Amino acid sequence: MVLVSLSVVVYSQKNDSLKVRLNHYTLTIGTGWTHYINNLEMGGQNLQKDYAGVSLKFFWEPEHRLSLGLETGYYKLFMAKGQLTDNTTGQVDRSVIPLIFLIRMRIIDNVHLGIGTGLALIMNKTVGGKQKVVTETISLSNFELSGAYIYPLSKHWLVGGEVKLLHVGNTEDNMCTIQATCAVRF
Amino acid sequence: MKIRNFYVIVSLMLIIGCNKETLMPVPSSGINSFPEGTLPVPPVSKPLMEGIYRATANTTIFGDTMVVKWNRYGVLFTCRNGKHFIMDAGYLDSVILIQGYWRDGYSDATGLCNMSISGPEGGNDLLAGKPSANIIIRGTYGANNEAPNQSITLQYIGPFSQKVKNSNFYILGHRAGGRNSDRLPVSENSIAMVKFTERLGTTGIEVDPRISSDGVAFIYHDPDINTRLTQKGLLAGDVSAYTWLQLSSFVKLIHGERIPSLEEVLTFAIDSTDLRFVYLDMKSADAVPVVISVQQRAIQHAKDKGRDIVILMGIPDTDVLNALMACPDYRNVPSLCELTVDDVRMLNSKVWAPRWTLGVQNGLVQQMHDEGRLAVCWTIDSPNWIRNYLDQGIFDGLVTNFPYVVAYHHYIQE
Repeated sequence: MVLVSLSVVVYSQKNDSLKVRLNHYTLTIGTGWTHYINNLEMGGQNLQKDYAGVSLKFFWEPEHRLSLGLETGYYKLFMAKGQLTDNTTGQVDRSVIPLIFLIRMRIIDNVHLGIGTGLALIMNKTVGGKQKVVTETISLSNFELSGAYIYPLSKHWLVGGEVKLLHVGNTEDNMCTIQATCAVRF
Repeated sequence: MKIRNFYVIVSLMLIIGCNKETLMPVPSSGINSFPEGTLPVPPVSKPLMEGIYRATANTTIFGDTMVVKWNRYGVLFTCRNGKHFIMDAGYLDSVILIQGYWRDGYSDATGLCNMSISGPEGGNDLLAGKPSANIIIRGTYGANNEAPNQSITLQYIGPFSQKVKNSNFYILGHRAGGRNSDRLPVSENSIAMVKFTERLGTTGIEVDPRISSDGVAFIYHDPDINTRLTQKGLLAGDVSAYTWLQLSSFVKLIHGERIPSLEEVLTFAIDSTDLRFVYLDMKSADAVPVVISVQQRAIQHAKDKGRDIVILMGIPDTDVLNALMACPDYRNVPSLCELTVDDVRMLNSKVWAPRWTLGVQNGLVQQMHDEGRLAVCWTIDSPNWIRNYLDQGIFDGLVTNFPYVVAYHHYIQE
């Protein structure tokens, strides 16, 4: 992660030919399809893995190719319902709210690659085994890889699409998402 | 273009590098194999076979000296450098056949091994229950699942010293025998580990009690459900938030075992092992009253079965200490205190258990001995420190993730 960060920082020092002015900020909202990459070793049958998710990003865009930002969102990872094990029925839901520090770099016109790391709040709701239990866990080692196409509609408004992979370290969950995004630049 | 390639490669390395590397293959003979077609070695023969052996061939890997020690399930050959053989034995005619595998506690090296003691080279005497000074164990070992093809020969030097035979030293397996990161074939804090642990040379275990949301004491080290300890499953978060039914139904430990209840562990230790010491390293002050009642039932069960085993509640911090002191008649709860010697006296603990980094502390340990208490030290893993503590200290036991190393240095003492 350090190596990647350093490489991005060094490469990003190139002047950006598309700069309009220094120090933009953008606020981006995205929504779209999320898919849980099922790597459960136990209870992975009867899993609902596809949901809609939302994300919210704030970026500082200086004159260079590099942008720095924070991202959060809400993603439901999976729901298992019915016969969870040989002898137990119930329902388990898991969702995650990440808070990721992002480094994003424009590779070619309108195309950006990003990496990020940060925290994630994992919420697990279990109904079964004679009780409903909700747990909340902070995961400290998470990372995100993303690719985005951002098209400027005007000086202030941008639309685009984004593909993203999120890894949640504490539970070793992985999910990918494809989102449509809308951003305001100021 | 170059930087993009670099980006992709480093990202792949990050993803791949995050994979756990905690598993070590167990050669195909498995952990409970028994030489086919053989009869069990008579109990009278086992202590006669135990002792110190000199390796006279291929000493590079295993060193020139080995300790051979029987346990309830098989026989352990252990070396100075952390390598050890987990073996089963039986006899056919006058030949004692020994088979199993060797492993290195400090790397992932392992392999199959077959050995035997022929009749003229000690088999006849041992099987007749007679001591023999001329035992020679011959065999071959290999790497991984390859057929053993490297020869190894062990020559009996002599029995354990009288000091060792007379000592009541406890070799205590941390988390019942070792951590998951020690790449053992069974999960830490599991019934399978309690069954396996004596094969590693332990004579006692340390386990980690917690309590479920519905008041069942169970054994699990960490405060949360995580992939270090469990197979990736549906539950996540605070392990104590779940009911016992949920934990036992939805969670499997890393090698597929169920999380055991404290009652199951103690019953198994009493009924199905020769372990002499169980150290309940309390992970939750809330669990104290429940653990006391399970402990009392287990002690009664052990008495009924005539088992020589001590079961002690460990006091690792002031929260647990205060919880214990809030219980009626707490001075009669058999306990092991990790705090100061004054706390030991206040609780009337049977054992003082200081952290190993505090040194051998012979003065304080002697005070404990003078008061009729024991002292064990936790958790000591380095071979050099283990040897130093055995040479220089007067502890009554060591908690370790490498019991076979402690076993080597203990049994080889003169």
